Amino acid sequence: MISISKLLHELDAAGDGLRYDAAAESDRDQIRRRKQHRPVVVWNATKQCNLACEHCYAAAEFERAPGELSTAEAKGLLDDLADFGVPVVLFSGGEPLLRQDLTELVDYATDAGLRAVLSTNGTLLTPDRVRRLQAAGLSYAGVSVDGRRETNDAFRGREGAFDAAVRGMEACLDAGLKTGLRYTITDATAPDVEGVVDLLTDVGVDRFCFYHLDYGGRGVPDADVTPERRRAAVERICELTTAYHERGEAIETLLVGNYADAAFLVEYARREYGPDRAERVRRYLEVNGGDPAGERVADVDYQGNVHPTQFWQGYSLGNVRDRPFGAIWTDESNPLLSALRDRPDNLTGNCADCGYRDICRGGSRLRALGVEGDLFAPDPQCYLTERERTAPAVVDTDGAAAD
Amino acid sequence: MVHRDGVTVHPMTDDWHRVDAPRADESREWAVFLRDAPGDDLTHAGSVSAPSAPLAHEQATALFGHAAATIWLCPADETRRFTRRQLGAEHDTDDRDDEHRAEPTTAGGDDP
Repeated sequence: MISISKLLHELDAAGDGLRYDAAAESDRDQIRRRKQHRPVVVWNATKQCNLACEHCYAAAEFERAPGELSTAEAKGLLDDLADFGVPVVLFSGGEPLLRQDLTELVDYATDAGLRAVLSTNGTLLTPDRVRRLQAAGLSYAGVSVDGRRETNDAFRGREGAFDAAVRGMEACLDAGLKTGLRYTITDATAPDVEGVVDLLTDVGVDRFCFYHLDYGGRGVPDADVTPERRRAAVERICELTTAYHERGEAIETLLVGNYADAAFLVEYARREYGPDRAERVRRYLEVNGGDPAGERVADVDYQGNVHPTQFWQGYSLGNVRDRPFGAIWTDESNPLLSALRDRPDNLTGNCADCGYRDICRGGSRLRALGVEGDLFAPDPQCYLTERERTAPAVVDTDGAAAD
Repeated sequence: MVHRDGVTVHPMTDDWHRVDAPRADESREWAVFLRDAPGDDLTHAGSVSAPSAPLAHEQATALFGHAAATIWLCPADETRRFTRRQLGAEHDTDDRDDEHRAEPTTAGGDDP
């Protein structure tokens, strides 16, 4: 996750310690004081969903799938995660609100010391459900909306989904539960970004996470934007963020899933604010550490399979019914895990000599695998120019502008 | 524990638990075993989802071809797994699961 608001506008946020090791600069309560050394874990609590989104990485379905972790097994998993020092567990799906024991599990996770957050389509977030989840310790609800009403409902396969999701976000805001938007940038949704942000800020939402499409489940390359359109969309989100901040509305905007964004933000900061700001942005991003797959983010699916990210459902590192999560995650005899963790040494093509390799780390290995069939090939959705890749120096060793 | 023809055999006892929950529901799951060099032991390296052995091989090669001299693929649904580990056993004290995991009946049919 890359916070545009933090990097370009120095927004003080609860994730500063976790993400940039910058808790000391913040006046807000921090999720973690120091940058995490254990992964944030996404748990797909169920594969069942009441919507049928075109891009769903989990390939969720209306019917419940066989082999879901029981309540007891889920508590065992949460014990394992807490013992391993996981900072955050993200209850996801499918639609996690379809699990009747969700409140009980959020309560259990919170008692175990995990920060419990929710990823939901929002359509089942009633005021009563929100109150119970909040009482159980839920810290945050990320609600997926992809486009304005018509775009979203077509994308999610259900008329009325947009209005229901907005009602769900309002229920969170009314209860005082922090909520934010999750928005996937695809060919269909890219044009609606500004309209959705404007509409939701009117409702009271102030956090907006923009996800680039990764290629898992029903998220296939054909649904994606071109790298050129992606770059334009990211630039528009930067401009939108700036416009809000300049008129005193300190919204938080974040980019997820394509670390070409890191390099772009350095370049953008240099162009718009000068070399000193660009250097500062780069330092934050060096601490942030680039694409997190296999290191700072992990996924456990509804059947207990552990994946390098939530999007990488076609490969499992192991199953928590066999081994504790921590044992699976630290087993670097697995060549894929070690390759993901040592990837700057293995990257090929444009990535091999890219000057931003340290803050990007090759972007999505899943997209490279999906399009090129090569784990170490460049991310096909890298949108940096040749000049940016080969001349990224912001300042020289004396602190003077290099170009 | 008994020794038979030089092999250690764990007899089935009450604390052994068969792990038979499914690990995939759309496509077959294939456990991957790798050997780094011809003289090395085979090691388990997770599993891939694929509808057929050739496609499983293709996926495993893309993931591990750089690091393996040998790849074995074993259909997970043909594997019998037994373990003394039982995830969450200490929480499985009564039949509350059935109550808490009652089948949601409205999915797919409710208005959002």
